Amino acid sequence: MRKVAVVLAVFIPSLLLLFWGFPPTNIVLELRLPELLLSFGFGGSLSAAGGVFQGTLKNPLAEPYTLGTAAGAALGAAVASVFRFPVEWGALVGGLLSVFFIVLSFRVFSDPLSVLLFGVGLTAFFSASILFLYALFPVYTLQEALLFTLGYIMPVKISLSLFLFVVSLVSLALLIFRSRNLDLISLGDETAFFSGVDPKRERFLLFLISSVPVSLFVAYCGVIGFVGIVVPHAVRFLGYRTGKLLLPVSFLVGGGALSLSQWLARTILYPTVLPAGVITALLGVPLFLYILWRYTGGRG
Amino acid sequence: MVEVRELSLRVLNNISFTVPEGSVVGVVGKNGAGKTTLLKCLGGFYSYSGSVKVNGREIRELPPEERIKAVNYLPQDFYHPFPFTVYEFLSSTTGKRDEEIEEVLCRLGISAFKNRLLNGLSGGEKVKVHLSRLLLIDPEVYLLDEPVAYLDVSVVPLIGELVREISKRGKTVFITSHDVNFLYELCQLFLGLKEGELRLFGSGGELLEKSREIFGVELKAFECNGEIFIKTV
Repeated sequence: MRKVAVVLAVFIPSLLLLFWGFPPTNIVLELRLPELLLSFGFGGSLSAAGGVFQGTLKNPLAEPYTLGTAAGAALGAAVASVFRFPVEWGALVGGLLSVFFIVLSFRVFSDPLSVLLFGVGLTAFFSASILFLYALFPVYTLQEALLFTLGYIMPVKISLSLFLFVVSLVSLALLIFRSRNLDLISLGDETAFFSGVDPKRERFLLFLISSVPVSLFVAYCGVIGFVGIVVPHAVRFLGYRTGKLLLPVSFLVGGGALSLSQWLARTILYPTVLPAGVITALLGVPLFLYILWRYTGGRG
Repeated sequence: MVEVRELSLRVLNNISFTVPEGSVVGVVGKNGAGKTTLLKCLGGFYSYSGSVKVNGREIRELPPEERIKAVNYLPQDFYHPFPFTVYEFLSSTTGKRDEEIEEVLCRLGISAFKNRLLNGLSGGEKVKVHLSRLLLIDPEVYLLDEPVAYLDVSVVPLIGELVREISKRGKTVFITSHDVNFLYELCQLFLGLKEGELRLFGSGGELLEKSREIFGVELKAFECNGEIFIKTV
């Protein structure tokens, strides 16, 4: 039954995004397919990274959005666009710098809640900085900048979307390869160390591997929240608990979830296209509250 | 054999002792005396100055796969925010096969827990699961940090039996506990810590003699129906 749920979560959004309205073949190949690769790859990367961040920080609320990685990448992309550098490099530097800050904060605060609060502060600071930057240097309008911080999936060429999708698959493969280490760290630094894993080194590596595709996607899709929190928990509730199952299934379900959000963003107020991040928040927050209830009230 | 020379770190100050193979060593002291820090140093978890050797090998220089078989640790606190079954936990932390895991769970009387979620277990049940992990790895030196703190009185003797059985196989066991009766009955040697300094390395008799220095209260042994009980005076 749960396998059927995963297959449906992948195929229904993909088919809707590709073929809704029965467009001609050239539209499917040149517009819809890149949109699907971008949505699916980004949603999958966010969810896999969510699983990694939650496990490594032992905090159910951790994900690239709450920890500032996505906002850091967005600020990097914004700085790059202002100074006419390639946006993907800017996003990569911004995303990895925020990973560095989070790892550093883990050494300073050591408790997962403080690190999460530090990340929330980073996100707010980076998001405000993006709007401030675009107000100072109006490369884009403030409305466009706002869309970027809300997560707006832009049309891109098929070659670029394919490249980003491959990067997300490579990152996923590397994460699955290290999934036992993720399981051990999520059980506590002492348990990890006395099972033969250096938790500090491994935490940094897992952050790095999961943040590279997220940062690159952010350059083209902006900051999208809640997918990275909700999907790994939903996948755990389906019974996929250990990293080697949690990460790939989260990737598939997360990819499907963002593709569905993008389809809804494109269709519900047609011809106006909403930012996909608005849909993920509208759908994600009730699910997030349900998960929170299961973690606290439901489980005692 | 465990040889510790001039071990220092934060609360620990210049600690040296040598423990022969197969010993059961009680690590005692007031809260904050450095018992857990000492155990974690013996396991190589903290970067200390000085030397900790297990059977002639410096612990922090061992590769991880040899280190965990030389010395391993039962933590004092268990926080499992994510759902893992007992089987998933033991399989990922030890890499052992199904039959071996079942055998150890059976030995500790928790084979029914195999498919239960770890974060749904009580404190005492979690201790047993973590002990199963140690028994599966079966290191040369066991470091047990407060193993009976969460256990009800009916289970404490089981832990005592287990420790004796481990020690008979030539393994060395270090145990911290505030239950002096439990330690007095079980341990041949005691390490007494006060504010990070080693004030005692000796027998149970010496522990009673130096109890005022270590705990701030005097401990005395009383005999009742052939059994010895320790009480504060």
